Amino acid sequence: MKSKYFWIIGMATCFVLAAFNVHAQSTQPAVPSVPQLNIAVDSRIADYRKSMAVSGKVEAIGSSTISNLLSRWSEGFKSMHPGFELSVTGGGSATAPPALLDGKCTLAPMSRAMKKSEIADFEKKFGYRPVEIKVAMDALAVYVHRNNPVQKITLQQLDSIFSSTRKLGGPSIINWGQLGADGVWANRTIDLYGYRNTGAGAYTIFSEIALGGGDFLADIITEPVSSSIVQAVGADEAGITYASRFFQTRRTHTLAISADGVNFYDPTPENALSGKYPLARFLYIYVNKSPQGIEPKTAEFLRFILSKQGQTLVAKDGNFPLNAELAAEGLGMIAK
Amino acid sequence: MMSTAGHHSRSLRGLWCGVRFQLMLLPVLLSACTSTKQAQEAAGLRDKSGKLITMAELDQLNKGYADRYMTLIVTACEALEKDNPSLEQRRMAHLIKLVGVTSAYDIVTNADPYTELLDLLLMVTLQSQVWIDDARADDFFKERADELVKRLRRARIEIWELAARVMTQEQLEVMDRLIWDWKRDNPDVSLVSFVRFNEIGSSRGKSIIANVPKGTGLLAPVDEATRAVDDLRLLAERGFYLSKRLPFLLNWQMEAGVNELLAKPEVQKQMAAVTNIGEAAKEMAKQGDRLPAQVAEERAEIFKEIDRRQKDLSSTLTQSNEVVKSMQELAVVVKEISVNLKGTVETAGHLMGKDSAEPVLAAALIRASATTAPAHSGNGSSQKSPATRAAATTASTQSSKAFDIEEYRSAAKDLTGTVKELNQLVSSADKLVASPAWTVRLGEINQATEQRVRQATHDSRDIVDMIFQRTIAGAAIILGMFGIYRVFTVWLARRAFGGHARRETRDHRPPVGGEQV
Repeated sequence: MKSKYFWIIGMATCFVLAAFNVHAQSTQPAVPSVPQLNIAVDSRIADYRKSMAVSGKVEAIGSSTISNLLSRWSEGFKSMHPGFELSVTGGGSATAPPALLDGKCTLAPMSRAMKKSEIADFEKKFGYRPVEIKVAMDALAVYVHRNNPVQKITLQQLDSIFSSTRKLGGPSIINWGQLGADGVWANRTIDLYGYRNTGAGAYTIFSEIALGGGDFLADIITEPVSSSIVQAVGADEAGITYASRFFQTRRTHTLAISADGVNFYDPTPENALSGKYPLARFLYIYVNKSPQGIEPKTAEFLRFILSKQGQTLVAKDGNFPLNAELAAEGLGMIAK
Repeated sequence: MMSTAGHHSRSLRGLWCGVRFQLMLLPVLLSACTSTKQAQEAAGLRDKSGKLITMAELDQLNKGYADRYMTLIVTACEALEKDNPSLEQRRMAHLIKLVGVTSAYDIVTNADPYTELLDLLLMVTLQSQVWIDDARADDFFKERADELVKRLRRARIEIWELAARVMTQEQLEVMDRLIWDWKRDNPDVSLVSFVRFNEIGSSRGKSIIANVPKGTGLLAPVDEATRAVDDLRLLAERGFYLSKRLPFLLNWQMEAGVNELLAKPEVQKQMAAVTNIGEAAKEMAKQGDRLPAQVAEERAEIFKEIDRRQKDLSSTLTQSNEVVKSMQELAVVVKEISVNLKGTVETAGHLMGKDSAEPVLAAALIRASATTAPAHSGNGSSQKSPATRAAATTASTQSSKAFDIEEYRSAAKDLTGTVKELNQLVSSADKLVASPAWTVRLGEINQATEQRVRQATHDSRDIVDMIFQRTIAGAAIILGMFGIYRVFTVWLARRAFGGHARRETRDHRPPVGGEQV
């Protein structure tokens, strides 16, 4: 009898402690988290475990958007494999498929998926398709000044603001009143900021998704780099621009975006991974996987990229890390 | 002869060898000259229009930018300082100006123009990120922040335009990421004017940027030897450049020193103390002003009282003089009566015998006295009849102490003492006000008061904290108790219903023994 009560009290204590523990966990982000950005990495992703010693050089040619990320991965991997060396050549996503085709590189980083024609060329030469591995997510955010009362926007409105062709069918929008702002904002003209470089990844993605492949207006004030574009909006109350979510500042806020005009989504990792946020994109690495498999040192490096350590570096770089399912999918492609 | 011929022959051969050697050297020398010329041509950076920018030109562009930056920052900071009542804001504005401009001039007097460009790019970008992107300008300068934001923004745009003339788009983006990463890794660093390119970035990013003068991307390679020559040539120029700008930098430095000194807590404390002393002196002066007035009032009161008492005293003295006069008259009368009575008594003694006649006459004399001067005779009451004594007692009570000279003398003595003491008090108060000890004491009182206020503030904060802590602890305990209670009730409910169900199941289960049977 005494033993029975002992068990009951013990169980009750465990329940109370468990309840507190659950509460504590719910108030904290999943570990590990990146300071300042607060991007959490899925704790279900497996840690990287060294399966072999790696030395030698690996070549990567392609997107300059992923260059910085590749450098981070390389430095992290090198701390465990001092003999490893990664050579990164930027130049844009378009340079990746030909380099992979010609065998100039073993890693082809791209900020967009390969086109059918590019895949066809590869298949024609090797007799099999290149392996596409999703390594991270990037989300473009639409920035306005922090005093701006507008909180949300549709893709069609973005097209109406930035495009000269307005392929999404909306009317021309030139002042904030047309986006629902009232009072002194109603007649305020919208100041547009954008990229000077038409080859920038953000420029391409924005033009494809928000402008429906249309052209930008000519009177956009252009800046050479992303941080400068966002800062321009932070210094101009009537400004609007687009850039990676990574460049958020205290003088700007991002807008929730809707593709259908009904449901608006903020640029969060959850909304990006679920596909709800319209201006999100995957970042890819394409590899040549012959029937014998991927070259061992490249495969080991890719395993590191898809591990918890690799995805933590993704978050540290300001991109959205993969969830456990996508990481496992990538690992499966390497192993097959 | 042979030897002479041989000597000539050897000389000719030597000459020919020398010519051949020089001929062999000629292409080498020519090629060396050509390569030097090529290297000199290559010692520059090609801008996007394809025009070659030499290192010397880049150096000039950097110096021009530094002066432009100085203009922008000085304009912003002077606008911030102008009519600004806040010492802290003025001090910070001055510091931004001094540190920013000093750093810019320090950078552009570097030996390498390309490093100058990278450092300027880094310094100006970080500064704009700290003050604009982190909204530090808003936090610090409030409504005056716009001037600084506008100028820093302009400075940033111009330096990136300059960088875009010598770096590829990819290199610019790498540089942007390097700076952004550094800023994110050092979020609390606000004094960024002296951060240099060497201190930031990953090895790959740095190598991409650092290799620009070696001909990566759009840039032409730079020959080390040519650069060394350029460095020497530009050394004197840099010296002149900086020396021309040193006077105002030194002036600003001195001003900043004064600002820093004033902003030190110790100095602030001393200034507060001076203010306190001023206030104390003011208060003392007020009290000093008040004191004579108070003393005058008190003196007036005292003299009024003295006057009042003097009046009473005068009337009393007048009365007493009258009484004395009356007494004298009475005494004369009494004397005459006594003389008369003496004569009468003697006569009576002679007539009736001395022993029997004296008491009778004495009693007659007393009676006569009592009837003559009833108001003035206090000593005869013991010899009155009881009724007469009671009436006399009542009368004496009503008119008792009508005049007591001893009392007045004593009062006058007291009054004199009081006046003397008052005079002493006034004199010592005057001395006290004039003494340094008075000031010290006032200061001590002020300090003690401040300490008590501080202590009270601290104690009240502690109490509030303690109340909150206990409230939170109490809430946690209640929550825990509630959890336990909840679990216990659930357990009880399950036990009650579950036990009932089990009992029912047990009751309907066929007996084990039966099966065996």
